[in-house]
Order: sequence, then structure tokens, then C-alpha cells
Amino acid sequence: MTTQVTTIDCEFVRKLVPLHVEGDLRPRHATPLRAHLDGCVACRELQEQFRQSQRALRTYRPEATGDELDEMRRGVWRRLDNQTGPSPLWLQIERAMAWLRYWAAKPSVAVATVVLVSIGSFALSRLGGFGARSVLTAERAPAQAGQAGMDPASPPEHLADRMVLAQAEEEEFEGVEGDGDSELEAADDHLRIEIQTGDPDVRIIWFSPQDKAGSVEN
Amino acid sequence: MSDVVGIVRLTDGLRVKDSADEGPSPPLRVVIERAQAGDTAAFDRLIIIHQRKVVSTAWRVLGNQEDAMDAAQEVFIKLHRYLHTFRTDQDFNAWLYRLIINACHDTRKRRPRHISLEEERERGNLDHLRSSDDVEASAMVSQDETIIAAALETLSPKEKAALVLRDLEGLTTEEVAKILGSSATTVRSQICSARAKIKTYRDRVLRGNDK
Repeated sequence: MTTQVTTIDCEFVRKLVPLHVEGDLRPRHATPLRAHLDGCVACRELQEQFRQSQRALRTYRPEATGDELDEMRRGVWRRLDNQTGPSPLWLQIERAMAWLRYWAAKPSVAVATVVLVSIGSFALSRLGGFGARSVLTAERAPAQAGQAGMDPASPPEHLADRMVLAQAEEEEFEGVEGDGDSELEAADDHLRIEIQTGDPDVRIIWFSPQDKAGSVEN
Repeated sequence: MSDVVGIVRLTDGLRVKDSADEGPSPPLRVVIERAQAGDTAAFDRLIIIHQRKVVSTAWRVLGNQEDAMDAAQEVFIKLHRYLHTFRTDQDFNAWLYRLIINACHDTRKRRPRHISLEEERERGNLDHLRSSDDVEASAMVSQDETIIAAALETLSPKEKAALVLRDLEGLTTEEVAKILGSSATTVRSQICSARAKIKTYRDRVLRGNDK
């Protein structure tokens, strides 16, 4: 919100009168300046001097003759004839860049682009980010249902759609089986399922009966 | 009468119909599109339409004809080089002015010259202004032109570009800001300073003449 300047002094007028003489002053300054000029002879005289100066400025109209312009034009064509232009491919690239610059300068397009890029980045971080950080492994594990404090047969529902099912390769099972852990070797009736969440310090573990885990493996 | 014709051509020089000696003209947009498609006759017509405008603007900015002619050639070379990037829904007027100002800037960098009032006096360029013949009206115009040409040389390049486009080419402050790539507030500040400098210079010269 702009405030209307109510009174101004001669010093202020001296600064603004160069703009006032050509109507370049904003209304909030023009109105009080006109009021000041009505009552100040010295400032009116200054305004008149600026008007004379502006009139003199407009007398400066240098113009070349027709022959001089023709000579200039011939010079342009001589230079154009002597130079080789860029390749058509380069011209296409320049045209595309100009098109991009033209649209990028429009605020609505710029805002729409920022919104789309933001949405895209967010979507990618939600999908790609979880997949990169999470690990699901299915291992043969002892029957320690309840160790993680959850129903071993059913993973949390809100995580189910975010699980990336790793292909449980046969070698992995064998590697687990051959690590010398007697408890693991003895417990063939359950699958141990681990999910690494986005937080590296939080891992969800649950145990599933062998018959249900079989569907996971497939 | 010829003066009136001259004023019209200066202020509206970008209109195709101003090149009256060329006969009926197609709209500027058509000429540009043909030139973009590689029609050399159309590009030559584009030069003819705009050459007077380009030269006079460059002359006002650079202060001498030789540099103005060089800058004008540069403008049309650049126009030919980059015309394919121009979109016909853009403002060709503003686009051309931007080319002119950039070409003037390049020319000034190649051949810098800044002439002060004292230097002008030393070179004797202002001595004739003290002649008693200056009372005649025609001489007064010539005197003003000479003073203004010298006064423009005292401005900074940005002030001069803003003043020439606003006061001599008749563009609005907003149009000037767009062409120069700055804000309207900055342009207002530049033209305010430039007008004050022009007046101060002119006052000093005229006071010198009165002595």
C-alpha cells in the first residue's frame, strides 16, 4: 500500500521535477508536487527551465541521407555474402532455445514447471527411495514367533504395499543353513522375514509358517 | 510540411507503411516470416523499412555518424543471424531496439570516446556557439543540436540509452525497462539523472555564451 505524500519542500521538488516535466512521476508524488508548484515561484521557474531543456533535447534528430543509407545497406549485404552461416542443425537448436527462453519467461509457465517438478521429485522419492533403502529377505529361521512382538503370520498392513519382494534365491537359503547355527538348522517349519524400513535403525522381523511363506517365495 | 513528414517517420518508423516510396507493402509480419524462410528480397525489404530508424537511434546513442553506421550494419547482421529465433507474436519493435542498444554498446567498447565540456571547448567545437549570428532561429536549432549532442556524451551509457529511448524515441518507461532488461524504477532514476545532467550542461554552455 502506498501512502500519499501530502506536503513537499523545494529540495524534494528539485529532485522530482525532471520526471514531472515529462509525466513520469507517480500520482502519489505528482499531486503534492503540483500543489507545491502552484505556490512556489522559484520551483515553477525551475520547471520551465527543464521544459526548455527537454525541448532542446528533442531538436537532436540526426538523420543520414538516402545515399548514406544505401551505402550502409550495401555494406550489410557485402558482409553477409562473405560470411558462412551456421548449419541447419545449429539453427534448429537456437530456435528451440529461443522457444524455451520465451516460455520460461512467462510467470504462469514458470510456476507450473516448478509445481510439476516438485510433484515429480516427491513421487520419485516415495517410490524409488523406499525401494532403494528397504530390504526384504526370507530366511529359514527358528520358530521364534512373537520375538518381534507381532503376529508372525501377517505383516503389518500399512507396510504390505511397500514391501519389495526379493527373490529368495536357493543359494541364500543354503548359505543361512550352512552357517553353523544349530537353532536355524533345526527350525525348518517357519520362515523368518525381515523388512528394513527407511530408518536404518528400525528393522521389522516376523516369522511365518512354512506353508504361507511359500507363496512369498514364489 | 517536410518537417512534419520527418517527425512521423521518426516516431513511427517501424510501421511498414512508412516506406511510402516502396509502394504498397505487405504487413510487417509477412515480411518477417518470408525473411525467416530465407527470402533475401524480404530481408532486404526489412532493412529498407528499418534502416532510417536504426541509424538515427544509433547516432543519438553514439553521438557520431561513423559509429552509428557501423552499429547499424552490426544490427542488420545480427538481425539476419538471429531472425529465425524471433517469434512473430513477440514485439519486433522492442526486439530491434534491444539489438540497436547492444550493437551501440559493442561499438562503444571497440571505440570508447567520452568528451567533456572542457574537451569540447579545447577542440573548438563549441566556439561557434558564441557567435552573434546565433540570434537567428535556424541557428538556434543548430546550436541546441550541437549542445545536446555534446551533453549526451557526458552521460553514462545506461543513462544515455534510457534517455534516448524514452525522450527521443518516445517509448514508455515500462517499454524502455523491458528493452534494457531493468526495472521501471531504475529507468526512472536513470532518466531523471540524465535530464538533470543535460539541463546543467546546457545551462553552463548558454551562460558561457552570455559572458
